[in-house]
Amino acid sequence: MRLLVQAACFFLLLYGGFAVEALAGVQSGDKPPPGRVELVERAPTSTPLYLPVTTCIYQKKGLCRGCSLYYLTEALVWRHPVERWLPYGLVLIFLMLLLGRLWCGWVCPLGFLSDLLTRARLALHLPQLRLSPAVRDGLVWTKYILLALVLGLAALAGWPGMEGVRNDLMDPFCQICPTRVFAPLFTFDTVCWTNFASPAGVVFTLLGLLAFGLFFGGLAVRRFWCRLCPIGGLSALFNRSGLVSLVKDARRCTRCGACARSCPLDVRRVFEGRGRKAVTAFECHLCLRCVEACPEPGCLQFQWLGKRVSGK
Amino acid sequence: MSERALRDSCRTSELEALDVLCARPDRPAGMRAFDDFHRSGVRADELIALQRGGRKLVGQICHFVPEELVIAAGAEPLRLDQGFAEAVDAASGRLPMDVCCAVRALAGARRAGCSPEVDLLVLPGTCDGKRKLASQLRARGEQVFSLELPPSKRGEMSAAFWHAQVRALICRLEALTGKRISRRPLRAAVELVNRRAAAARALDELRKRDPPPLSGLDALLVVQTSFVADLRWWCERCESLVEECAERTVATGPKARILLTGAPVLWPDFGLLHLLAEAGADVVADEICSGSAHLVQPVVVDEDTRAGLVQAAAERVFLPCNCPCFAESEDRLDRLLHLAEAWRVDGVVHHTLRLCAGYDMDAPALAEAFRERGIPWLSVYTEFGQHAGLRSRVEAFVEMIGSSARRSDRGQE
Ligand code: SF4
Ligand code: SF4
Ligand code: SF4
Ligand code: SF4
Repeated sequence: MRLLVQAACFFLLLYGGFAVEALAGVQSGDKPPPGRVELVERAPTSTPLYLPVTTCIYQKKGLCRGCSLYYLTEALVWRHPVERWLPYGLVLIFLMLLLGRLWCGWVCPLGFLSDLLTRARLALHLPQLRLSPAVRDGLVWTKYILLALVLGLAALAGWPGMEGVRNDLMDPFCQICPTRVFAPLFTFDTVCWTNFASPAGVVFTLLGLLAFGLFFGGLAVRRFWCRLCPIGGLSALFNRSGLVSLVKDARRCTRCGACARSCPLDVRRVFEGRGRKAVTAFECHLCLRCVEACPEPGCLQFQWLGKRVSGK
Repeated sequence: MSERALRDSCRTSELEALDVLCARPDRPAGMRAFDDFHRSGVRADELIALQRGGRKLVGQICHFVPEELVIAAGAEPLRLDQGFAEAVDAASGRLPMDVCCAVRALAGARRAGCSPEVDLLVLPGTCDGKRKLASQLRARGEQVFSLELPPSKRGEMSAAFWHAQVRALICRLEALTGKRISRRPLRAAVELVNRRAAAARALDELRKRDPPPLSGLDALLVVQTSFVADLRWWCERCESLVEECAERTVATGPKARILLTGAPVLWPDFGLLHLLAEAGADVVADEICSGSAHLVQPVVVDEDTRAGLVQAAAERVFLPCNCPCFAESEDRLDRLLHLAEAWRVDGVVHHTLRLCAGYDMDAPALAEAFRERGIPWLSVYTEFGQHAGLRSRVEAFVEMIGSSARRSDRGQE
C-alpha cells in the first residue's frame, strides 16, 4: 500500500508538471539550463510552491519549484523581499507541521528510489548491512552538519560584494544532491554530470559524484541516503510536534523487537519506549512498518491530529 | 534405585498424574488426543524410529533454541524439561544439595535414561547450575552445546552477544546434520513455528472467557505436549481443540481466576495447579517459561533472506523472554499487569522453585506493585512433588478472593 502511494507521488511530482501543461495549458516557464539554475524570475515550474521532499528545481517542467532546502538556500542567496519568500515559508512550515516525516515515508521521490533499491536487493535475497550503533547514531548528525555548511555557504554567496562567486555557491547542496541527477534523468532532460569551469565547480563535481555513489549504498543499507539528507533533517524538526505520532501502549508490549527489526531507519525509540505514550523519533519516516509488524494487538498505533489512523 | 527401577517409577508417576487429570470433570473431548499421547508412550518409539532412519534429535532445556533452525537443518527438535520428583533423588550424591530441583532432576534423568536419548543436547547458560551441569554431562560422553546468554537483555551489546551465540549454534547444527540451513527450508520451518504460535495464541485467547472453556491444567498439558510432540501433529490437534472450545460453554466458572507466574511448572508435576483447582480456583493465564508465554510468540519476518530469517528466529526466543536470569523486573511487571487486566484475573500466584534466586528476588517488588493495585498475591515455594504443605495457604487465598468484592465486580469491569 505504501509502495503504491509512493509510486503515485513519484509520478505526480515528476510528471505532474507535464500533465498540467498539457491539460491546462499553463506555461511552465523557462526550463533551467542543465547543471545551473540561473536567477530565473519566472519559475520554471507549474507552481511556485516548495515541498519538504525532493521536488527538484532541476527537473524539467516540475510541479513545484523546489525542495525545502532549496527554499532556504534561495532566500539566503537572493535576499528577495519579504513578501516574496514569507508566504511559501509559511506554507512549508504548515506542511511539515501537519505531516511531519510522512513526507519522507510516503511522498519523497528519492525516498521511493531508495526503497526500490531495497526491493531489488530483496528480490535477489541478499542480506542487508546493518550499521553499527555508533555509525548509525553518528550519521544522524551528518545531515545537520551538512545543513549548517550549506546554509553558511548560501549566506556567504548572498553577502554584498560576493557577486563573483555567487553563481558558484548559489545552490551548494544541489551540487551534490542525487536528485539533481535523477530529476532530469527521469524527465528526459540532459543530465549535467560534471562542471570543471571553476575551482568550486571541480570540488562540487567530485563531491557530487561521491554523493551519487553513496546513494547506491542504499543497495546494502536501507534508506542509506536518507540518513544523510538535510531535507529530511528539516522535516525531522517537526516530527515530534505531536500532530503526527506513533503511540505505544507499553503495557501490551512484549519487547519482542519486531518493531526495531523492521524499521528501515533503525529507530530504537519505538522498541525501547516504556511507560510513555508517544514514541515518535526524529529519525522516523512514519512508514508505519513497525505498526504493521507488531504482533500484539493494540500495542502500537499511528495517530494523526490525535485520531487513530492505523494500528490493530 | 537402579536405573531400570527409576525409569519404571517415572513412568508410573506420569501415568498416575494422567489419571488424576483425566478424572477431572467437564473436559473438552479434544483433550483425549493429548491424554493418549502421554498414556501410550508412542512418541518414545517414534523417536527411536526416526533416529534409526538417520534423523538427528536435538534436545534442549528451556526454550532458547529456535526450533525453526533445528528443523531447517533437517533435525528433530525436542524440549526436555520434565518435573519428575524421582529423578531429583537420583542425582543425590553427585550434585550438591543446594542446587535447585530442576537441575537435579535433569541430571538424574539423563543419568537414568528416563529422558530421551538425543544426538545433541543444548543447555542454556541461564544459571550456574545448568552451566556446570553441561560439563558434567559432557564428561559422561553426551554431546552438549552450551548456549550462553548475556547477563542483561537491555542494550544492543547484549543482542550482539546473543546473535553471535546463535551463529555458533547454527554451525554446530549444520555440522551435526551435514546440511546447510538455507533460506528455503528455513522459511518453511518458520511457517510451521508460526502455525504453532497462532494455535497457541488462539487457545490462550479463549481463556479470557469467563468461565474459560478449558481448565488451566488442560491448557498446560496441551502446551507442554508441544515440547516433545511432532510439530505438525500438535498443530492439528491444538487447532481442533481450539475449534471445539470456541463453541463450548461451561456451566460454572471457578471461584477465582488466577494468573500463575514465576518458575516453571513441569509435567507431570502439576500439583500446584491441582491444589488451586481443588480449592475452586483456576489458572486462566500464565507467565511461566514452561507455559504459553513463549509459544505464542510468532517469528515476525521482516526480510526474506537467510540472515533476516535467522535474526527473526533468534530474537523470537530471546527478546520477549522474561527469565529473571537476564530480564529486568520492570519488564516482567509490565507483562504481568497486562495479563492480569486482559485476562481479568482475581489473584496472582507466584511460584518459586526452591533455591532459584532470580524468581525469588523478583517477587517482593512485584507483589508490592500488585497489592498497591488491590490484586491479591500469593508467593509459594515448591520442589518437584512437594506441594502438600501448601494446601491450607492456597485454600485460604482462594477463600479470601472468593469472599472479596473483587470477584463479584468482575462482570462490570
Ligand atoms: S530523508 Fe531526504 S531523501 Fe529521504 S525521504 Fe526524506 S526528503 Fe527524501
Ligand atoms: S538538487 Fe536536491 S537540494 Fe537541490 S532542489 Fe533538487 S532536491 Fe532540492
Ligand atoms: S513490535 Fe510491538 S510488542 Fe514487539 S517490541 Fe515492538 S512495540 Fe513491543
Ligand atoms: S519507527 Fe516505525 S514508522 Fe518510523 S521509520 Fe521506523 S518502522 Fe517506520
